[in-house]
Amino acid sequence: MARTLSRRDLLALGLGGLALPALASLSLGTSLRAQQQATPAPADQLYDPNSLERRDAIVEETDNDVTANAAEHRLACPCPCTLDIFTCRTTDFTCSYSPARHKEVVALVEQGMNVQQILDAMVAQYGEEALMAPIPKGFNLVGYVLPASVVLGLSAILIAVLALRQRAATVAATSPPSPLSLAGEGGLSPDEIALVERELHELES
Amino acid sequence: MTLLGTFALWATALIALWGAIVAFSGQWQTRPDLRRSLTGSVYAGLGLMVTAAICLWQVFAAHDFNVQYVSAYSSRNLPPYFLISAFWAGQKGSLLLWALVLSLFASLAQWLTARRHADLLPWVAGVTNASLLFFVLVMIVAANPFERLAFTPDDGNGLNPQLQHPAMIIHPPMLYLGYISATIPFAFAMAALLSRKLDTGWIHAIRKWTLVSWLFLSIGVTLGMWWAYVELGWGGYWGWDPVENASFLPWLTMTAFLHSVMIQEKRGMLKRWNLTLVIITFLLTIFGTFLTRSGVIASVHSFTQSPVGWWFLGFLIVAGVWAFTLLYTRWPDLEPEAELESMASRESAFLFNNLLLVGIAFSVLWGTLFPILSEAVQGTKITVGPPFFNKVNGPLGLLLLALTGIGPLIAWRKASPANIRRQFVMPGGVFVLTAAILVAVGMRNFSVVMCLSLAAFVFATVVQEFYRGIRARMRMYHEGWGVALANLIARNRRRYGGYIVHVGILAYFVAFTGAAFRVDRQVSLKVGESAEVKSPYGWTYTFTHMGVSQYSALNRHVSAASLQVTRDGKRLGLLVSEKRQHVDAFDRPTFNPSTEVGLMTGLREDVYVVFESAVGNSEQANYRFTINPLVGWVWIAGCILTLGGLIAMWPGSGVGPKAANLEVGSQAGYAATLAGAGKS
Repeated sequence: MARTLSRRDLLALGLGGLALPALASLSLGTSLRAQQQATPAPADQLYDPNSLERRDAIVEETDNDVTANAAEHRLACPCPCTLDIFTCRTTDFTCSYSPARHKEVVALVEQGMNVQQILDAMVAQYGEEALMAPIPKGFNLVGYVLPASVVLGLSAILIAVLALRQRAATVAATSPPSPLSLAGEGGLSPDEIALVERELHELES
Repeated sequence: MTLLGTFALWATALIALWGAIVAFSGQWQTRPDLRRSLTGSVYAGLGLMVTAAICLWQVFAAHDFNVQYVSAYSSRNLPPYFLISAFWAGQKGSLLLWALVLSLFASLAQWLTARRHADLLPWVAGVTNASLLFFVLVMIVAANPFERLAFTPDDGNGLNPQLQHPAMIIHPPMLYLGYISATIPFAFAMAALLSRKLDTGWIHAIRKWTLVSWLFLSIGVTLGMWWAYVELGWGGYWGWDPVENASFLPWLTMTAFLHSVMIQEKRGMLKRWNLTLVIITFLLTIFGTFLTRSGVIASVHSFTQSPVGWWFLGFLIVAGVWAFTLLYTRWPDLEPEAELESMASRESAFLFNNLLLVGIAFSVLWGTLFPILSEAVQGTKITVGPPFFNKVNGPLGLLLLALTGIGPLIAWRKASPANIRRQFVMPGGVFVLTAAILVAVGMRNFSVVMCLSLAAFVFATVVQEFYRGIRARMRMYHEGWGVALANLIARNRRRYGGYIVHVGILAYFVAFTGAAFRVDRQVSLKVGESAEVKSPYGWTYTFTHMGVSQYSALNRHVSAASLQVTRDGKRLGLLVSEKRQHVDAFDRPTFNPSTEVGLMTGLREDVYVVFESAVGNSEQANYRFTINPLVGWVWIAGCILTLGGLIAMWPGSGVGPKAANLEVGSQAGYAATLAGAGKS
């Protein structure tokens, strides 16, 4: 015989369903903690060094050099990340190119170069593909200028067309529409026309 | 299940083919049975696509690693909720998602407007069926998600760690909803052209659907920014990557359309332009898909290089040639019903707004494709990254922001000098005052000063519009300001929803300026050591390294580096940044270690910490600390924009037709007065 499920049963089942995963995770957490406590790592040493990136080098003050970082934001990383050198070396920690390029940039800074000189030196060594944006000369200039030129050109055409139409409209409109024509075209009652005129007068004043 | 799934794909292909042939043959015009069959084909497509999707989820849930797609994107120990995002983690599943959503929208279009647009719907069904046919064919021929392997691996490769994030469950579907729903306005536009029913009926259908697409795309793009910010670890949210650009392009043209369609609705102008925008938007969604799947341009987000991309290029060319040819043949039927009368009118402002939006779209597209062009012309491979895009698009963006404020203030048809004076005095004053204050406090970055001042100007225009509307209602109906505000929005949801969207847009611009003041510092800390970082607001943050704890959880080994954070001596709390080594069920590493950032977010600035690496085998840690001003406002902007979009698209116009007509002739901000006084 089929047993019907009462609301009380349903509530109990629901609470049980909620409690089970919580108990399971609690016991899992306890066992993990127990496991970790059972085999403590030596002080200041990682318990499992193989599960994360490790580097022998520590960060130095030259890594925060303002000139180097500004230049690196404008230099492309040669790895397939499509990021700049600074972003790649501080984000994609598996890349070997960006740390190497960073060292080259730091060396150039230590020679007393400014940002532009660093960029020029990198372009001289690796070509234009070392940059995050093309040098604005030759064909590249088209890349920089064309979008704004298109917008400006079309704006000029639009303004000219609008000016011509405005002039034509001014010539054509010998007199403003009278209340009579409003009534004829829009079917507005005299009261509505008066209201519109009052409102327009108020707006204009 | 894979058999059933494959059968569903084949059946969909045949039904969609039937639907497309019946629709474009035009036989349904004299045969009601064919017409019913056409509608039925759309619903059948949905049923079959749902079946295929359930089949794919089922094989994921069953860990059937004999299925190549399941083996490539999941593993036994992948948390169950990420099995949802594993569905669209790869090329094949994402194509199935596309087809599923397309069939859903196609059915909704038939169901929701069955009576209102009865004359257009068979043509709409033809276009959606042809689109669905293309996607299903691509799956069948080149990317079948149900393809089986010759052997069964003991475990799958697992899901890319960067996709194991809650945002990845919702961001791709949102983006896809935005992309795919753009097919429906395109289908209605083509239906109007095919049927030569070029009155205002189709434009109403298109506007609603475009608003839906635009909203989904906006949410999808913002969620993508959030995911990139919290998950990728580079401290930014927008990098002008080709895939990001691909999602931005249709958003720009949709935004242009949503403005220019108002001119068509109110004045019967710009019909050709609006149709062009709808076609371009659809083509851009396909173009974006081609970019991400062909491998022609390097991108962080791209799917692997595959021949699927070239299918999309073919579809893009065919759809483009067909749509523009159709538009050309109907050109004479699309004469404007009125002419522009004045340069100082809202129509002109919207025209310039369109020009800028399409100009920015062109600029983004140009920058995205420039590496290919440059290589073809000069023979050298170049990178076109953020410095290029910021330089080219920055000024255009500022102009657009200015027009966001100017447009709504100018009257339709022709604004009088008195109107212009009255509307611009307060916002103009706010602009000048903001600029003066910013310069006085020492801000010298021209772009930032202009951006913040223009944002203040736009905000002032919106406040002015709301203030005048509320005041008018309070005067006319003796309502309290709260009731007046609610009624004002409720009676003209589209207009005031639009203003709220404008506030969202200006909030994005304000947030973007924060990037100019970002501070980065790298340090190496032993346990107990501290480092200080100065924020742009002058606060000093102190980070004290507490150590690295390691433990196993779910499908990964976690190394968590903890930092105690104080600001000017006041304790803010503990920040944890993690390194995660994901493993399969047999404890074998599946991917390179990934990073989870530590993040404290606030209205003024975010504290963003990345645990870069450990030094040797010790708990000494290399960190990158980033202070990111105003980033929180990007997410707030997204919420404001979504709220405004929801208000604007809520069903019902909020005003009767008579009132709407009166509004045409009214000055900005006075619809309530005229509508209420005239007829109530």
